[in-house]
Amino acid sequence: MEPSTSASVRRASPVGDNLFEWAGSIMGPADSVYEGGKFLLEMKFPPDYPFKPPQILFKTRIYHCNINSQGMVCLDILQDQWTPALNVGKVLLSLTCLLQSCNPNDPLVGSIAAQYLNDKEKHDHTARLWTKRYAR
Amino acid sequence: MKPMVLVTLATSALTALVVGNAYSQKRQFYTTLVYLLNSNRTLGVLYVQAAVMLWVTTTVVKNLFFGTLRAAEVEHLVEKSWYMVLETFILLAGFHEDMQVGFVTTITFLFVIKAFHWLIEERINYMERSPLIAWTFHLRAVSILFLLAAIDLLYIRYSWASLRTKGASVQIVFGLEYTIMLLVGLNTFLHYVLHSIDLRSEDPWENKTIYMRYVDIGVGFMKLCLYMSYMLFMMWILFIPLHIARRIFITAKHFQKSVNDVLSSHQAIRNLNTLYPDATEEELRAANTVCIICREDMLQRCKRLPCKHIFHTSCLRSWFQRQQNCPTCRMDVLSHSASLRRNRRLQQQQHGPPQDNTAQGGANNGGEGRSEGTMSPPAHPHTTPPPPPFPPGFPAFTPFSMPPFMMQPPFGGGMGGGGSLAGLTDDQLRSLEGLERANVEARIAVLRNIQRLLDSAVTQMVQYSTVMTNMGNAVLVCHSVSSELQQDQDFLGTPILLPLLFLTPDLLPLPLHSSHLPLPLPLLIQPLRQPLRLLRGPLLKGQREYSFTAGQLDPQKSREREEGEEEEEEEREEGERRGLFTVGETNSSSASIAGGEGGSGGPGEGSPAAVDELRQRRLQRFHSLPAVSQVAAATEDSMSSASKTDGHGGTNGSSTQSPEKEQ
Repeated sequence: MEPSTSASVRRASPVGDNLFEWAGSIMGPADSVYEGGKFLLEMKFPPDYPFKPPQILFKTRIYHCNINSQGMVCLDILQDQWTPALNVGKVLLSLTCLLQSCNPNDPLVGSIAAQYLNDKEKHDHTARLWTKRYAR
Repeated sequence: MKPMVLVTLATSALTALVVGNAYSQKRQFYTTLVYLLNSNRTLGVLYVQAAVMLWVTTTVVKNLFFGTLRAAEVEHLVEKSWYMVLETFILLAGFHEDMQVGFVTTITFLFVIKAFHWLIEERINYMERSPLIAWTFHLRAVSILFLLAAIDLLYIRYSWASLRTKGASVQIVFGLEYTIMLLVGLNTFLHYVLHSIDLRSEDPWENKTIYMRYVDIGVGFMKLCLYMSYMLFMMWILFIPLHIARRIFITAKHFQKSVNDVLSSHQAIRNLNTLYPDATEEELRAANTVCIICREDMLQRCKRLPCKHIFHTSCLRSWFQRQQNCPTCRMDVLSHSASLRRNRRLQQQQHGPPQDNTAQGGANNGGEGRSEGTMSPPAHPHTTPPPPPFPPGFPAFTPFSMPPFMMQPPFGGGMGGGGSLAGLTDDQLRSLEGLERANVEARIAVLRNIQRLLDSAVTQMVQYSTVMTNMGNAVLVCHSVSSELQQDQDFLGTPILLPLLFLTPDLLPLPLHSSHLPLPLPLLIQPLRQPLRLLRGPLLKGQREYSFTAGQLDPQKSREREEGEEEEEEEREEGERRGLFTVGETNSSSASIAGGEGGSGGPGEGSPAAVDELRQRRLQRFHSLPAVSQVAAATEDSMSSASKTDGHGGTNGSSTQSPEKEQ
């Protein structure tokens, strides 16, 4: 296991003695609708890590078309595009990028993606509202 | 949980009330039973009670063996349930006559058992990802697996017995379902065993993924066979089993994917062992010495991929079991090594063995040259530096401008004669020999193919010219007729109209123009003409009377007409009225091709200039048609020969003209 990323906007460390379960957090990227929010993450590592990707759950609610209400994330590098060269830091960075720019063409929550494409203003408003309500 | 308990209590109370009421009325067991089963209301209460009981049992079993379900498990369960419901409806379409209480019960039971199979499969898959496995997990997993297997086996036995005693019924479907579930259970159990073995050892078990794939392939194959034989059986006795079509597709797809995965991981690991070089000391020193997979120092047993990234051999092997790309840059290892092999082969073919030698040498000395060579696409196999010296006799040969098999012989001779083979081992020489032999064989095959192509081209040309000759005649006839048609509309065209006459004798004469005639028609008519001539007599009787309205012909003429070309009558009558031709000129002897010519030749006898003009017009029209103009040149000779035949038949006009044409 690699040490936790020490960047102030992204943190992760093992929970208790179990090295396979980590808790982390990322700050909503600046200039995005999630700015100012702090999103808690739960990371579970499979026994054959790094050959299999970690499972990542958002514990903080977030209005994002690639993250559902259970906190599951739809991100290719956490599924079939995983490579052993990725580590926790890079995964957290990718998650920050996902917050910065979502991918409405491959959504996990179809309604949010449709709103993002058709009525971006309302989408942004709701996302800011949720960030304010749940992520602070 | 609360409402669940309430519902259970309520239904139990209701049932007790109904049963108690019935018993108080009848006072006897059998009469009570009969009363309960004959009344719809009491039956309804009993069904509700049964459903609640089933639900309660299911919940208890679930809690006993699975505990709380995870969100993902519930999600998958719901998703699969919808498919199951859909497939049940499709199934009902085939077995609607079996739709009874017993059938519904069986389906519900099947659904519950299936749901448990799905759940345990999910659980075992999750086992791989959950690091902490308590002993209760093993106990629960093993016991539920054996319980489900026992239920499956019992039901399979029952449905088999039913099939043998009562014949084909809906029990076949259930038998299949339980057999499939048994196989799924077997698969799950084998996965469980593999995971357990993996858990017992401290270090991760490298080959587990491979064994899992083998298990998947084996069980997938059995499932596929079962589905296929079931489908054939059902198609044979009853109907096409649409309800399993989706699952057959998914199973086949999954099976194909497993086979592909195994093959590609094998290939990648073989490449790893044979194709990729070990990393040298310098490379290890130059690179970051930490293996990016396991984050440990790389001191020995490291491999370098063609993309120059270095990893531990064991780490790479584990990764290649799952995916076949470079962990750092995602370069596809399989497709790349295929191109690498191709490159090597090309190099061997074109430059002989020394090239291969330099490539290997380059790989051993830090590998600049070789990695350049391997990174290049297969279309440019010549980036490896030193080209062999060209023999002085071949100044114009550049490897890029010629296909390989063209330039092979000089190089093969040149390089083979040199002493450059000395640096090769016996094995390399032998493989080189094999390659050379293969090349020679391939070249011979290519030459044979070319010869075959040439032969067939010659045959085609001969056939083509034959067709052109015939078509030339036919086209000429066609146009002579069509020009006549424009001259007098009521003319019955000779060969072209035959099929029309044959089909619609009462519709004639048609206002035909040459533009109405599809071009290939003459070709089509040509073979028909002979048999049609035999038919024409009886068929055209009514037609002839119609065209004989002028009634000025003598008996001899009409006899000749019967033998010859009846369709010319109108024109001949016209010619006769003008006094341009006599009985002797009637063309009855020549072949049918000349028939149209005979008609046109008629008026030409009296005035050669008119014939010339007519022919010129005809030729102009002939050339103006796009498709015909292409073959005009080729048919020039046949035209003149046709007119010759015509002239020979009787008219002087054509015969005087044909020599001119020929000149």
